[in-house]
Amino acid sequence: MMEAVVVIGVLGIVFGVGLAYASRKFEVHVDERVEKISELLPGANCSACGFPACMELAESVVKDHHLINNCKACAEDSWLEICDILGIELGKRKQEIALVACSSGSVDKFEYNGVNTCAAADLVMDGFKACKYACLGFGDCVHACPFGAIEKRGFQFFVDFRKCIGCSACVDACPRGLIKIVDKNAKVFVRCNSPDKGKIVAQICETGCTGCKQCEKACEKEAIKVENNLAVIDYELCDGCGSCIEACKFGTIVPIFPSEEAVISDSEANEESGC
Amino acid sequence: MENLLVIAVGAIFVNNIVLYWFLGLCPFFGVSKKTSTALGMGSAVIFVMTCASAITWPIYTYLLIPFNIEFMRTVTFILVIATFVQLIEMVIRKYKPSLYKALGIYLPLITTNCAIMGVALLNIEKGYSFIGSVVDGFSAGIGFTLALLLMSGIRERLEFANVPRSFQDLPIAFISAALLALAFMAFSGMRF
Repeated sequence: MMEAVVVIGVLGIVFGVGLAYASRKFEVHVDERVEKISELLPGANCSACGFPACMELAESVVKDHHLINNCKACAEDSWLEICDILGIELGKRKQEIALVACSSGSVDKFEYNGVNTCAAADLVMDGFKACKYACLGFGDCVHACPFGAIEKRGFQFFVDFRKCIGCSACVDACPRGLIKIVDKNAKVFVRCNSPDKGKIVAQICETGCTGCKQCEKACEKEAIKVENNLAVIDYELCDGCGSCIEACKFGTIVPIFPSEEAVISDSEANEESGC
Repeated sequence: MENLLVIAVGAIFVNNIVLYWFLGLCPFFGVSKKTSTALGMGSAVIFVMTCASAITWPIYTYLLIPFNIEFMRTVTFILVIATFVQLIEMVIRKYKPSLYKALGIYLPLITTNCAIMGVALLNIEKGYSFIGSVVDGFSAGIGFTLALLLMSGIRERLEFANVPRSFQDLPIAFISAALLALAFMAFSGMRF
């Protein structure tokens, strides 16, 4: 019995002292700014900055200050605080959000009974929607969003502006490339991604862009151009007057509400804009 | 040499640490959701199991046996393995930061894992030599990684399966693991 106590006791003491010594000898010097910065970073590990975790961005930011621009999830004030810690001055940040460029108006081509993901559905005969650019609706983007900002309502997906930070995780998840990252201050948005000719679009989709150029004519700022049978808005020129929304016969162009309204949806959009 | 091969095959397939001994189920279910994390965890387990086998054998043979205190092996092994993993962690953090990042959080997680402990105790029980113990530890780690990778593959696919609500997530994972273990039972017919 005595041996057991002595042997275990001695072992414990030897290991304890050894570890204490080793922790001194192998100490790794950590920049204290790293800890402060990683506390200020959102900690969502969305990897939009190109690093797998916020902690790793913090480590790299200390070496290369301008990498902090890569963090899109950071709140304005904590972002400024990080700049303070790093001792650099950067201008105002551009804030962006993700929007789904499809209004899911396309009719179905056939019934799909496969694996319940967009990626899988996309592989089967160009998808089950008549429009081969249409949203497939299984919500790969919902799963991909690290902030839970995308919500499915009916057949459409809506982005909660309070939560979305434009990290583009959903952009990569969408097999059809339907999700666009736009300026947070944008007022209008074209909810279609089909470059098909107007005649084809009109046959298979109620709300698709036919490239009729009515919006182009209506826009006083010349901010809308129809390229490849699809209206494209130049947000640098757009002042958000909304004349294109009225001009669009198919309801493809929709208003985007400021962030206080948070979630846009078709029904809400119609009620609030009164059309 | 042939003997070592038998030990290796036995530890990987026949007496798989997870699917035969049912040890280390916590990391088996905890980190088998994605293949990438399963691989990280697997490599950390291989590393620690090999080292733990290598260090517990001499401690047992040259310290516990001479003092006639073999009954203290569980306590001693916990102490030895925990200390050793801490030490290894410090060393690789200092000299091999890339390896430290790869093994990352998994190293401290498995310090007190029962699979590691189980392998060290089984080595003693089976009366392996030093080389035999190290090979057994390494192979048990490989077996753990194999089971973990198989499971992560199944679970990645299960994500998209239409599972009844009450079975979603962990329950269905347990059922899958049971079926996997049944499949591995076939290996027990292998005799050398």
